[in-house]
Formats: sequence, C-alpha cells, structure tokens
Amino acid sequence: MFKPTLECLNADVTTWEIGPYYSALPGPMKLKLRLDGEIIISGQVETGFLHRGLEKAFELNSWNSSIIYADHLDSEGAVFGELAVCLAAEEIAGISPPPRAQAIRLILSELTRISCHLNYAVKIGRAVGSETFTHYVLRDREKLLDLFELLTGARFSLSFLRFGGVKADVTEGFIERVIETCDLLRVRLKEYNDLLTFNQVFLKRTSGVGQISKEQVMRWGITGPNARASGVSFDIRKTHPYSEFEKVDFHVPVSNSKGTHGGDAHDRFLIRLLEIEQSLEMLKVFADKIPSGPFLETKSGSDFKVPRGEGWIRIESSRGFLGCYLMSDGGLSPSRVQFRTPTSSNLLVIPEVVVGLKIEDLPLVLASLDLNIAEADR
Amino acid sequence: MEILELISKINAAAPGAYLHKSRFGGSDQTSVWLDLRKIRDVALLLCNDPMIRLDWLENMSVAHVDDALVVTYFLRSWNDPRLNLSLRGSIVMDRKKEQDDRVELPSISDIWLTATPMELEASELFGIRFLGGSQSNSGSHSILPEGWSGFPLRKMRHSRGNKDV
Amino acid sequence: MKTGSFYLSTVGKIFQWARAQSLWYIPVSGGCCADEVMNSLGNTYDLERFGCIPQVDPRQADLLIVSGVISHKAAPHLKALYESMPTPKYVLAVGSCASCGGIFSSELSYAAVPGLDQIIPVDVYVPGCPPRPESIMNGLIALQDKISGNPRAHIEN
Repeated sequence: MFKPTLECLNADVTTWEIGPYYSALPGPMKLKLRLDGEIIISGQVETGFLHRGLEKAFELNSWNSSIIYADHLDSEGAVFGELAVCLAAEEIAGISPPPRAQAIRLILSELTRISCHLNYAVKIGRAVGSETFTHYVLRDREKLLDLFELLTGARFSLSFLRFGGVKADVTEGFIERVIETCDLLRVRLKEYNDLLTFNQVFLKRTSGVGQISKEQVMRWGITGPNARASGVSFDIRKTHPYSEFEKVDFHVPVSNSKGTHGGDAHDRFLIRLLEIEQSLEMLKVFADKIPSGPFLETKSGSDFKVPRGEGWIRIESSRGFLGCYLMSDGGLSPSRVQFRTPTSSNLLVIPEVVVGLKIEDLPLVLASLDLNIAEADR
Repeated sequence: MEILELISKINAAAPGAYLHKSRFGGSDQTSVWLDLRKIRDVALLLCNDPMIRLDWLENMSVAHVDDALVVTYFLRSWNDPRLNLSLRGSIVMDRKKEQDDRVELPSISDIWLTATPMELEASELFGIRFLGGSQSNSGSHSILPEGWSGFPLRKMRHSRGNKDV
Repeated sequence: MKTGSFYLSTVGKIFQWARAQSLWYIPVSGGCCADEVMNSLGNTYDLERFGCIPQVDPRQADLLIVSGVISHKAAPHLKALYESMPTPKYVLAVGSCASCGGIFSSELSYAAVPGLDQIIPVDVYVPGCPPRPESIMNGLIALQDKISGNPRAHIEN
C-alpha cells in the first residue's frame, strides 16, 4: 500500500528534468533539478550523451591520423588537443622540434586561447540576454578565424601540427596580419568593457552568482581561469613549461577579490578578458622574433611509428589543465590514448553551485563555467 | 620528501603493498608499483600525512597491456605544484575466462573526490568493479548505450566499431 | 521519404513559398559543427536575413538543424524532439558526422550513430568537417528551393 511521505504532500517542491537537447545547456547533458518555487534545492548532472568512442578511434588508425582525431577533442581549441598528442609522442620518441616550429606552435596556441575566450564571451552574452554584444564579438572572432585560414587553410579543425614540428611554414603576410589583428583587438577589448563588463545591469546579474570557493576548487580539482578567478594561482605554463613558454615573459592574472563576492560569474568573465590582454601582449612581443630554420624535424611518412614507451603530458588549454597519457607498443597505431580534460572536473562542482540559485540564473552559471561536453564525454 | 623515505612510510602503513619503483617513461617523474588490493591504505597515507599531502589526483588511466590491466594514478599536491608522483599497478586477467568478465579493484573516490568520473569511465569501458567508495557501480550504463555487452576499450575485443568478430 | 506535401495549385505554391521564407529552427548542437552554425548566425554570415529565427520550443519550430555527432545514448531523445515538432517539418543535417558518420563511422566508433538518416528523415545534407558558413547557407537555400518546388531541387546528388 503506497503511503505518501511528507515530501510528496509538499506541493512546493517539484522536480524538473532538463533533457539532453535544450538551448540553455552548453551541450547534450541532463540536469535533474529539485525546485522550491523558483529556487533550486538540488541538482544532479548526467553526461555521456556525446560519447563518440574517440579514445578507441585512435587505436584503430595510423599514427598520422591521430592528429585528426586529436583535433576533435575540443572543437574550438583544436590546437590544444593536437599539441597534447604531439608533445606526448615527442617525449616518447625523444624528438624535439626545431625552434621555428616551437615559435609557430606558441603563436597558434595563444591565438586559439583568444578565440576560445571570445567564444566564451559570446555564450555569456547570450545567457545574459545581450545579443548586441554577441554580434560584436563574433565579428572580431571572424578576424581570428581568417588568420587560421591564412596559415593552415581551415577555420576550426586545423590538422596543422605534426610529430616533430608543424606541417608548413608561415605564409607570406601572416606575421603582419597577426600584429594588425592584435592591435585591433586591444581597441575592441576597451569596447567590450564599455558595453558589458562594467555595465551596471550586467554587474547586478552576475555579481555574487555562482560562487566557487577556494576550498571547492581544491576539492574538485578545478583548474584554469575558473580556479584563478577563485584565487587559486595554478598555470601549467608556469609550473611545467612546455613549447618554450619559459622563454616568454608573461603574467598570469589571478583574482584577489576577497569578501562575499569572490569567485563569482563576473570574476570568471573578467579573468578571461584579462587573459586575452596578456595573450595579445605575448603575441605582440613574440611574433616579430620567430627564429629562422626548418619547421619540421623529420619527414614523417605514412609509416611513421613512435617507439615503445609511454608519456604523460600536461598543457594549459583555454579551459584549464589538459593532460594526455599516451602509450605506444611500437606498432602502427597508438596503443592507448587517454585525455584528462578540464571540463570533467568543472562538471563535478555543478551540484554544489546550483543550490540556492533562481532558475533565471541557471543558464548564466552554466555558461560561466565554460563547459564543453564534447571534451568531457570524448 | 625523498623517495626512499616515502617508500618506508608506505611499507609501515600498508605492509606488502610496495613492489618496486621505476622512472615514468622518459620523464624524471618516479612511479611506484603497488599491489592494488592495498591501494586504499596507501591512498589514506599519501593524502592525510601532513609531511606528504598528495591531495590531488590529477588523472587515473587504465590501459590493457598483454593480458593485464595497468592502472596508473597520477598524484600531485596543491601546496607544492612541483611535487608529483605516480602509483601504478596491474591486474592480471584470466585469458580462459570470458572476455566480458569484470575484475575488481578498491575504490578511492572517497579519498580523492576527483576520481569519481574517472572510475565511472573505467568501470564501463574496461569492466572494473570498484568496491567501496562514494558511488555505487552497479553495472548500470551511463556512457554506453543501453543493452551494450562487453567492454569496448579492452584489446581482447577484436572488432572494429560495433560489429562483433 | 519526403516530409511535407507539394501542391500543384497556385495557392499551394504561394503557401510553400511563404513557408520557405520563414523557417524557424531549433539548433541541436553536438560538438564541433555547432561552432560553425553559431558563426553563421553572427553578423558576417547572417542567417536571419533568410527568415530564420532560433527557437527553443519545438512546437513552434519547423526546421531542425542537427550539427555534429549523435551518440546511441542520445538518439531516442533526438527522435522524441523530432516527433514533438508539428508538420510540416524539415531537417537539415550539417556536417559529415550527421550526414554519414564521418570520422566516427561504424567501423571506427562503437558509440556514434553513422548518419542522422538512421533515426529521422533528412531533407538536406551539408557535408564538411566542419562546413564553412557559406556551405551551411547553401544548404539552407537548397532547402528553400526544395520546399518551393524549384527545379534545382530535383537534381539527385
């Protein structure tokens, strides 16, 4: 005989399951929420809707094809996936790319970081309801995608890095266009600040919303700009430098806002704009000084093999700490490729962060965490 | 702290757990091979001892190598970003058993909370049942489609895609 | 299987033309190609001048733009979303993975559905990995031609 519990009789508490395909969510994921009127009491996340079997696909193709699959790990930041796989394979094989290739990789990596952060700004603008801002940012992002097309021929899945270097040399006029674009973006950053960042309405919507404390960052292993916005200073480019980042002089912005509003959505947005500024500084200084020389260490033919061994590489992608574990048994394809993605730790904090939010703040908080479901599910 | 001191502490906390140590690949990181049945005692020591404080599990990866599943735990410390260590162990699988048989391993997801999604993936894709811990791995499918049988990332499955051979 | 019916009378032709000029769509994002669909909404390659407005509610949309990989776990939900749209409805499959499986075809992936037409009927396929916004617009114009009954739509590719 069914006996209703006190909770069933409480008409205020409802459950709401937001299914995989919904435009307020960052991708296919399920959110099971319990609501008391408009306030969220608890939330649970279910992912796995975009599991494509990416890690197994590496093992079924040749070494050269793993660049293509690594592109599709994080679609906006294709270079980060490629860089992780290339660095891991180069560590096993003991190859070190020539200085010109390292410089080109660094330039691509910083340009991708700017492009991903601009995409983040678009998502935040859309979540808050500021459509004009999104059009301004998309217009500027097109200039970055034009730069990628000038260098590699593609806008998103670049397939430009190779084991031991890069695929081709910089095209004529690329460096001048990079410096021009950096100057333009510096002016536009001021425009974004006027439009949105210090706008009173935006501040009211995002201050104090979705706060993540330092203790939560350390408990769930959150990294990247999300952690730095909560005051935890951790950047792989400084602790485990790769690809000649140790030779570049740059400063990692960390939020030091203490008090009741530390680590909220506005901090996460502002940190990323500061990181764009830092990347622009880096590019301006570095783009002129690319060393001359070859751009590829060895000509990798179609039967390129990595010798037996294993490697573990950490890089700083635009979302945080991206790690790649690569194991080779000397055969024609990798034996095991496993990625540790920043989004899978960001997803762990959602049940704690949504408690006490109003429903209208939910898309904003989810957008501010910078989630990419494709890389969490692989 | 020095690696030998660490090993003596591990031997004191979990006798018989330590097997040997080696270099990890071509890097200068040390990896310590353990008997994985005693991983929980070692984990409690490494996480809670105030001199060690390896409190962040940055990655846990499983690979199928020659009839054994090699599990690697990559650890580091929030206080000292340059301190890192990897714990490794292997579980030998019986070739005569069905290739769809699960192996068992103690869970560490209540000691290092970041391990939860990694253990979920390993349990579905490699067929490892994690005992204890903060989540129930009852064999329910949350990554693979409903009704899927087998563990796709194991090498014994000589198939391409979802066709059985 | 063709969705929607093709009238032969003039009134029918006007209705079909009107439908083609204002396709309100639901974007279903599945990863990589979602970025290019979003770029084609931006002001450089504007989709809104073709009459397309993004919708959230499936009951008020007549176009479903599916971009990216559909996994086996998500396929029943996509089918439920498609069936909750009222007829006449159209489907645009953007990207190689939605058209035919792409790099996650059935030999290479155990978890991705090799092509959207295994689940729901598709009207126009836009290949590419990811396709440029111009290709997506070309696909949309081809769909408009197909709905209005233009001769271009009768070429079998």
